[in-house]
Amino acid sequence: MPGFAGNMKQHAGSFGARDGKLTTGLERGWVGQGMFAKTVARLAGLGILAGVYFAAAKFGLALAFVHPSATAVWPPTGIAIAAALVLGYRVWPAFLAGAFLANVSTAGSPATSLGIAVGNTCEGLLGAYLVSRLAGGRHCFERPRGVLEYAFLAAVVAPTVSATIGVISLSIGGFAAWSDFGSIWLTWWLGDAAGALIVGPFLILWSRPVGIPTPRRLVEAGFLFATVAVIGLVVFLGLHPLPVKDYPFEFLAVPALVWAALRFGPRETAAATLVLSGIAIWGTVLGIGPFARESPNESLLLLQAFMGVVELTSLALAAAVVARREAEESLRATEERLNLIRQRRRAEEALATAQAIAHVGSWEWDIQSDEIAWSDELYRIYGLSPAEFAATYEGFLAHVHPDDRERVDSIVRTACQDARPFDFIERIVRPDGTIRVLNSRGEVFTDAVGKAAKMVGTCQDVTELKQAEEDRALLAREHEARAHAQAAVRQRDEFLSVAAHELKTPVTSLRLFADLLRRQLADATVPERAIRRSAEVIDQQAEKLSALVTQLLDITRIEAGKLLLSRQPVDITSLVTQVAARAGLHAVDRRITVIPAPATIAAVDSLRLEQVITSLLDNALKYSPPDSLVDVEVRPASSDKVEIIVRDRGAGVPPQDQPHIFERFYQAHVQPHDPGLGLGLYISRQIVELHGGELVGEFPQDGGSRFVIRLPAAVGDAADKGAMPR
Amino acid sequence: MSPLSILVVEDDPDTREALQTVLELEGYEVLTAEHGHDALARIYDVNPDVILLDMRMPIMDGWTFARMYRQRPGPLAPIIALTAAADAARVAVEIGAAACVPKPFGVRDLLNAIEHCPGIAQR
Repeated sequence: MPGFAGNMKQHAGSFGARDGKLTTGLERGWVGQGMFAKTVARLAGLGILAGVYFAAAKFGLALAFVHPSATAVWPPTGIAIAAALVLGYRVWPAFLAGAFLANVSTAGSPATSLGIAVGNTCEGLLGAYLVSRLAGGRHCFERPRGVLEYAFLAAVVAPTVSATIGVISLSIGGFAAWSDFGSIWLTWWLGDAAGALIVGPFLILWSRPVGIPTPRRLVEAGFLFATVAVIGLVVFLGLHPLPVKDYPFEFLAVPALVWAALRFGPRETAAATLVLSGIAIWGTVLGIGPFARESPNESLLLLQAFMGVVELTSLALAAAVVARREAEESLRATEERLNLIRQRRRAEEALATAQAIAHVGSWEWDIQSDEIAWSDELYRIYGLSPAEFAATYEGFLAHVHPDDRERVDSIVRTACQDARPFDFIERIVRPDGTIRVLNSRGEVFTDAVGKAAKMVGTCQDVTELKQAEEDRALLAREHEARAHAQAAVRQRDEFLSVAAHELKTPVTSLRLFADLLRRQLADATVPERAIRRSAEVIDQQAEKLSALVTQLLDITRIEAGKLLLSRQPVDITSLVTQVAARAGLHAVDRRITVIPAPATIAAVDSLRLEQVITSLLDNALKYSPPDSLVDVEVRPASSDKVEIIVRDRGAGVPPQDQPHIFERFYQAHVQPHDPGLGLGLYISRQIVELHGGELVGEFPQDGGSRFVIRLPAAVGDAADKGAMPR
Repeated sequence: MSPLSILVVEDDPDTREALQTVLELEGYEVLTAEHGHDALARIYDVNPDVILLDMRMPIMDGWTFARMYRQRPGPLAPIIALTAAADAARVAVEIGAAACVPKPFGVRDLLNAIEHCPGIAQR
């Protein structure tokens, strides 16, 4: 191929420009080489096709009886139409070559053979052209109408060209008599038509990729083709035990082809017809079967006509089945879509119901366009109709309780800024004025640059929940109050029991000594010392009783708010000194040290303050060892405070009792010889507090107790204040 | 015949003194204790003929004393409860006392109770 390199540019120009880009020389070289390979492949393809065409033609011509060049069996027509449809019109040289070689090697001159070959080529191209333009091309077998159109265009119209040109060529070339024109033409035409009907569809249909069938389908297909073969052998080869071999059994072919059409499709139907046709031609040529006549040509023409009609009918049926299958498929798809829609609607309804039951509404806020969408339930929660809600952020804020509005606004703005989920409680006001409590949750969705674009969330009406919570809290408070009251009652009962004991004990002593005194006085032998002792005890018991009664009265006054102070400016140091001296009288061998401060004046009820200091000193003496020191210090604490500090070095108070010592009825020390109501410290603190001061107990590390009375120092009007009931 | 011995268990010193004086005048032999614990120690080896028992006492009260006393082996002296409680009779039943004298009481009440106390050999 010397001219190839020179033509390369031209090739590249004509083919390489397809993708519309300029190519460099080097690339062009590659393209040229690709083209070369392609051209070789194409030529090889054409050669193979021509070979196939040639073989089919030779097979057809072998069955030519009316004229060596005119046969009732002409598969090349189907091959040419199918090839032109599937591979393109450019394969025409293969037809021309195949037909020419087949004819020229059979009968006639090269010129007539060329004429015939031109006719055959035109037939294939025309058939393919008409089918692709008017019948839907390769997909024509998917609709019954397409099948009929194919039959008319490819099997009726196209063969007229081949038959006419072919017979004219023969007649002009003198290879056929003009008088035989009609019969030769008809044979020619009929043979071509059968070829187009029987071979064409098979090739066209099987040229498309075949899927892998399931084993079940494969088995059924096996049965189908076995049945077709058996029917072919029985009907057309007479392989049955009956003596007569030309019974018109041909109708037996129909059920098998209907089976193929209904259970399989056009492809298998065409294949089954082809198989059947092959067997039929074989039998008919042997002179067997329903179409066997005197003349083999007549037999074949009848057979081809029969096979063509059967093929046409079963292909139409198969196409109808395909169309129906597709319609069903599309119906199913539509139904599925409808089902999806229905399911979605049901889901939406279920969601709405769930929202209504849970009192949860949902919302969506497009922040950039400031549009808010509410669910139906949310409208119900707000007591609004869609017409009443502005559906903007400001519109929403307008329904928030005025006291919550600022907080809600700030929460929402913060959430927008940080693009963070939020969860808060808010109150809203319905148009009728009722207030509902909502739990709002939401999430922020950002756009590509991270700016808040959308907010989506829910609102739950928790009004009843909150109410229930408050009720529960109230109930808990009531329970607590009741427990408190019960504890108080128990404490009071305990106090009454203690008080009864404390009061009855001195009374018992009183009565016993009074009885004793009477007896002693009646008996002259009793010494005077014993009588005096009895009288002394009676006096002490009366005093003890009196002190108890005074304490009880104080308690009663304090609790009724009727403990009144009569305040006078008093020098605290001198008051403390007097009290200490008096306390020292009772404790014979104890000494109390007074640490004075000069000129500390406070407005106090001196009798009550004496009572407090006496009580503290009595305790200090009582709870410390006899040889230990007790002191009482007076000192100004700050510019307006005076402190009186009573200090002992005794046992102190156990840590667990320390927080309770100022409580009513509380006795930290349970010791013998320690009678009392447990009221001393309680009353003392009440009195100091009535003075506007405070009384605290401290327990230093080195042991003992330190009680501090802190009083306001005397300033002008302080004197009147003490009269106020507590 | 030796005089009846009486154990007085009472925390208030004045009441205890009065009881002792009065009972000794009546010719009883008197032992005293300040509380239940003291009383158990006092009668560890001498069983009195009768016990006068105050209920509210520090260290060990009358209820505890009565319970522990009953766990002692050997003959038990009857207990006369001395109580300021409003329901003295119930307290007596609780501790299994032979009698009770509610406070405040006079000498007559006390002597009556001792003389009529079940379980004592009377003079």
